[in-house]
Amino acid sequence: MRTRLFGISILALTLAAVLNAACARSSENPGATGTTGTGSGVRVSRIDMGRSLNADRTINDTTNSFKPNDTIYASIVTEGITATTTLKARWTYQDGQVVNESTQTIAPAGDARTEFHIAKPDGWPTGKYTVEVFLNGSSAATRAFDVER
Amino acid sequence: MSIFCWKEVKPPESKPDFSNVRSGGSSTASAAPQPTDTIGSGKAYVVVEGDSLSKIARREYGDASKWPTIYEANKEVITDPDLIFPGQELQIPGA
Repeated sequence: MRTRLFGISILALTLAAVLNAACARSSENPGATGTTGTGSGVRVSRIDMGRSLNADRTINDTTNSFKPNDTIYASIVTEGITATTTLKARWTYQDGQVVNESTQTIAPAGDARTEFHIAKPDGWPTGKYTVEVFLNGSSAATRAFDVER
Repeated sequence: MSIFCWKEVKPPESKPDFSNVRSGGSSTASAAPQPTDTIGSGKAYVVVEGDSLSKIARREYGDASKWPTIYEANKEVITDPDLIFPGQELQIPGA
């Protein structure tokens, strides 16, 4: 009898621990680890990258591989309508250094393209970089690229 | 071991400097109106030796990439954002 009660207690404690872990996980920010994600009513559907830009903010020559003297463009495609959405691009070097952060506050009335670009007058160090896009403070998309000689 | 087995000691690699990175952007979506309190009345700052716009931005805003905010507010006195002089008085918006 005592053994059975002990077994039931262990089972109840295990069940409580599993439920607690599941609840904690569901409260985490769902957009933080995804490759594309949502803001309030707006969603990032794609990041295109290249060396030059067309008038409609599409990329003229799409590439993931840049030269040290290139201006690097990221064209972000968003879907949705909101009165105010903050879009931030964080550019990071392979050692974790933040190369640049810039923000635009937009009021998209449907599909839109927003471009961010960076340039370095004395040339980019070669290596691997990422650009991470945040929608209203939440990570919504990430794209990696290289700078090679 | 002999002297022929010595190991070359490499100097530690220096971190690349990204303080002079220039950035910009635009959108096909219209720009949302900015809350006026983000601009603020600002404050005056006198440039000291060794300063750069990105250093001032890092100190005043905690973010070196915000140097264009200072540059835009001081275009009358800054002709080249890479060139500021000790003694120059700059306005720091929203600081």
